Amino acid sequence: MPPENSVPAHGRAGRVARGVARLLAAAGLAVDAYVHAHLAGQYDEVTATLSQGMLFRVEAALAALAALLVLVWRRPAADTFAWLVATGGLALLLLYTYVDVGRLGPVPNMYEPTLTGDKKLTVLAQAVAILATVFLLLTRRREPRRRRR
Amino acid sequence: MPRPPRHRPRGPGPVRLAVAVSAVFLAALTGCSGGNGGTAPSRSHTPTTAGPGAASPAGARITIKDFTFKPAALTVRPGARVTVVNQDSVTHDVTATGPKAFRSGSIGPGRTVTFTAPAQPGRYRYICTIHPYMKGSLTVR
Repeated sequence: MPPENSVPAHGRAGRVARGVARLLAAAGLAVDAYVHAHLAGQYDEVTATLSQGMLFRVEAALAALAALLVLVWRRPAADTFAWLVATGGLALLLLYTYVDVGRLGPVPNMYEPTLTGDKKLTVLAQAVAILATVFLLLTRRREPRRRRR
Repeated sequence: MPRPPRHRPRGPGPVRLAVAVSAVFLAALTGCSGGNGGTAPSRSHTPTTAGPGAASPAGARITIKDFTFKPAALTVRPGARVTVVNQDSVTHDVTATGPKAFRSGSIGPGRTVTFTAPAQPGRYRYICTIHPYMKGSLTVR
């Protein structure tokens, strides 16, 4: 009989897989944050009420926060937040690449039909973060209920 | 022996939603990444050299359309006024690279601005600083 505190083989593998997924999610979000922060100044001239540069900084801050939470907090809420940031970012990137949306109230027209190297890198990073966070959400375990008494 | 706690696989709505939305986005991504989406301009802009005597006297004009400067190469006289028309739906600018010989400032969608060409003869390359892959050249002679 295995000792009480031993971890089944598939449990260990699962933990390793979840650890790798957590690292991949955080790395993807970190790249997302870096690229947006790096490009923000370039897009400060694209303005309505808000500027594209400011929106890029917001995306960078959200992605950095999500990366931190995924690594440190390690709760489903953190994974869900990270998934939302990556998916939302990817949705907007694809939208403004393929659709000339025009100005939307305070949001300037951020249409840019060219897939630059930075865009490709961001798409890859966000896709990795999405896949990794979906894996984390799908394989999360419910904490065993504590017995009363 | 106490039974180990059973970990019932959870399939709540939000997770299924996350999986479904992710699948849609990734499918869209793989479908879209093959090309430039039809409306994307070519990324290689090789300026063509204007022929001799092509210097515009006063009405030098650069049109921005589909994220491209037209003409990609323009010849003007020293100190000429150059008009830039932005026919795109997003903001652009015209900024000389290297020595900062000229800069149009932001040109909003549908706007027109003018700037003065350098007095010094030579070939000046310029870009849109917002979209640096947009390139052109201004020859002064």
